[in-house]
Amino acid sequence: MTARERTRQQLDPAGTIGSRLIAVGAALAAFIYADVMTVRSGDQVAEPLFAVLALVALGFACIVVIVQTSPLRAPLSARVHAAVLIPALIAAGFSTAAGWGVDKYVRDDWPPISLGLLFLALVSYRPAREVVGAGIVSAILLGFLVLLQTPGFVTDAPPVAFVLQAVTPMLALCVGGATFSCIFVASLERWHRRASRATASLSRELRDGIARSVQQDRVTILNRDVVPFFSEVLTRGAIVEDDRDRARAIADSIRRVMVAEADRSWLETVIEHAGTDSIHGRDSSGLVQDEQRLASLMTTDQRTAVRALIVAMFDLPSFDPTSLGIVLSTRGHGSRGVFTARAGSADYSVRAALAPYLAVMRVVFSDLQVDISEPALAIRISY
Amino acid sequence: MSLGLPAHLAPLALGRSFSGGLHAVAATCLTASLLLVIVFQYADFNTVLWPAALALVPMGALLWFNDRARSAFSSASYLIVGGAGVYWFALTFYSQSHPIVVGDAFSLAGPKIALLMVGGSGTGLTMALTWTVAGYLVAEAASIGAIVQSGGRPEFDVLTFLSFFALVVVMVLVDMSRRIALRAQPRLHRAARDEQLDALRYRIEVKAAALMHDTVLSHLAALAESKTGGLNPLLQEQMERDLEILIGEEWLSEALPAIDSKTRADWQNSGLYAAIQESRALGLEIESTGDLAAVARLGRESSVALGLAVKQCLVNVLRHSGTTHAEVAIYGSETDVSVMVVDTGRGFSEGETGADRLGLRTSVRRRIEAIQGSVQVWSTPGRGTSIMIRIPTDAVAATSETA
Repeated sequence: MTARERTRQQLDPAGTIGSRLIAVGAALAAFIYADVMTVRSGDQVAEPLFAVLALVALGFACIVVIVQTSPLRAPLSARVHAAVLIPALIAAGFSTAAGWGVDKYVRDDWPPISLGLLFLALVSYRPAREVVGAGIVSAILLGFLVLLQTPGFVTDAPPVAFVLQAVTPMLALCVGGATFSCIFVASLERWHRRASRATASLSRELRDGIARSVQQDRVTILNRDVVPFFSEVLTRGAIVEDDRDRARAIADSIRRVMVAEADRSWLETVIEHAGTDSIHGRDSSGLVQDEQRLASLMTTDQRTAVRALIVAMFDLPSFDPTSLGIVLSTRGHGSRGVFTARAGSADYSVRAALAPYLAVMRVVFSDLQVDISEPALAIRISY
Repeated sequence: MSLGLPAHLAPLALGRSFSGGLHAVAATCLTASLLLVIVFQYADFNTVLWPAALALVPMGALLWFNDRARSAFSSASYLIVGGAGVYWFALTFYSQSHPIVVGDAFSLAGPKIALLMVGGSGTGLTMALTWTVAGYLVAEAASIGAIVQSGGRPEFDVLTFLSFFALVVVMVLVDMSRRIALRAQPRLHRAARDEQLDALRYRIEVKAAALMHDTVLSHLAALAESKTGGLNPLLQEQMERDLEILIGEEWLSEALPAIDSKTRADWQNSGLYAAIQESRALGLEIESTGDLAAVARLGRESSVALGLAVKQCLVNVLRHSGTTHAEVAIYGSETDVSVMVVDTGRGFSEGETGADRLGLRTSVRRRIEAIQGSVQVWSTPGRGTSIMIRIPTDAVAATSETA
């Protein structure tokens, strides 16, 4: 996994699911606005073919936004940003070509607003700096296209005024959106810093208690066998025949306990805790197949995401806890995990309930594939 | 960490970011309007347009103030000064001999839209909508007033209305998106906390297991191999210590004893402290626990050797373990000082002897054995590594005597 980018999507994947509403809304608005304006100023179209091509290119950019902002396709990359920006700029070019020589007013040209809306759609998904950079590039291009057309405009005004009129809405939307995401990302980062400090002090506070309970576990074993045995040998000051076998037997039993403990992975513990009621003391080890101990290779973030997902799955009303199966295996240099379960209810409700957790997983794992086809649920991860 | 803001902070952060975004839009509109005034004034010196620029400057200043303060007072001030600004701006353009009012290249909407973007104080959708409506009404009233006063005929300003409408839609959508986000956050936060605690417990268990392995198990093994008859005095001593340490004290307790300034100074002058600080600088998170004062009982030579050895262990953690967290635990007894370097990373198997293990062999083992100390390593693939370094407190004395 590469380093996290400073985008809201990558720092707060679950929270960004809601932003998709805005992204999809803005993309649709951009396209509808362009269509309406094209039809309304039909008399200013010299080349209908170019007008159509402009709308097709813009439509493509909008579809890319709608598809790629899906939480299951996170994180939205710079490449996708380019795949939105370039067709949108091509659309602006076609739009200018369509009205070449007959465009009378700059105010009814759609590219500034539609481009601005597309930037607005992407602000939660790309770093603010990148969005502003793209906005500036687009402003220069749009300004240039307007300058080319000024001789045809009916209003008598300085050419620079037309350029300003054209680029201002786009820049305003772009700068406003970028500022929003910039401030939000900064508060996320501030909170993360504060939260990790708080966790560190919480750990310190709880440490002694945990240490005592771990020690208690050990001492229980020791008190039963080792303490009486050592005391006996020490009092006697000599070793008798029987001691050797007893020493071996005690060592074996301690080792067995240690091996059993070492063999339990955190994943099994999580499932056991999540399903205390539903599993009814069943051995959770059967649910997890992880011979190579790959669960321990997950990072803290990955474990947190998996933990939250498992708890969420157990909380689904229609979830059948006994159907859960997790298989971890190596693949190439990395590891691969497959979670399967019977969720039992309609796809969309399962999808909606798990979406925030899957969104987080999508960002912390290098690959995530989700297959929900009622009643089966399969989630594949790579790390 | 990929967690969003907790429920009590999210509305505040969202409100602040949203206001910031609105103010950026307003600033862009005001700047563009200012540039337009300059461009038109420059293009035609017969008109008197520069006063319109004077309307924009206080608006910009109040916008800045409102952005900083984000209070009801700052927002209301912005609306009042902004309303006057819009009025003055419109009046300047409408009262020219040839009013530049219907031009394609110009509109009054810039400052008016800037007024819509007041942002306002407080959190929540209702509050935000109220301020926006107030901004719209003030902007329209001011511009209509100016147009009427200059003898013009007010017309419905489509651009400002569309901006107002779009802003309201965005506000509703942002509020909805926040509600969606809130549903999952508590569970994610709980998962993060549980994970933290589990990791903590696991680290302590690894340490406990290693200690148990080091003491009880190895002494049981020694017993099992002993001949019948008298108890080896060394083994007897070790078994006594086992009982003393494991049963008598809280051997896993991490609470640092209250340390006086001398102890602190000794600790900070030790080679071990230097090793920990240097490794922290390399990006490793290190927790140092236990009896820090014990390190002061080591001679200079031992202290330096211990520091270098621990540094090598920590470098190994950073290079090979796959984790950036390690723990250095110090145990002191009358006769020796033990330092344990624990990580819960990748671990390795005994058979695996890569180049990195050479570091362990030469930099750690040889160095410590040279001062009469001992090194023990426990590691299991996937379960982390614990390295126990034990140095007798009179090690230097012993070496200098033999020398």
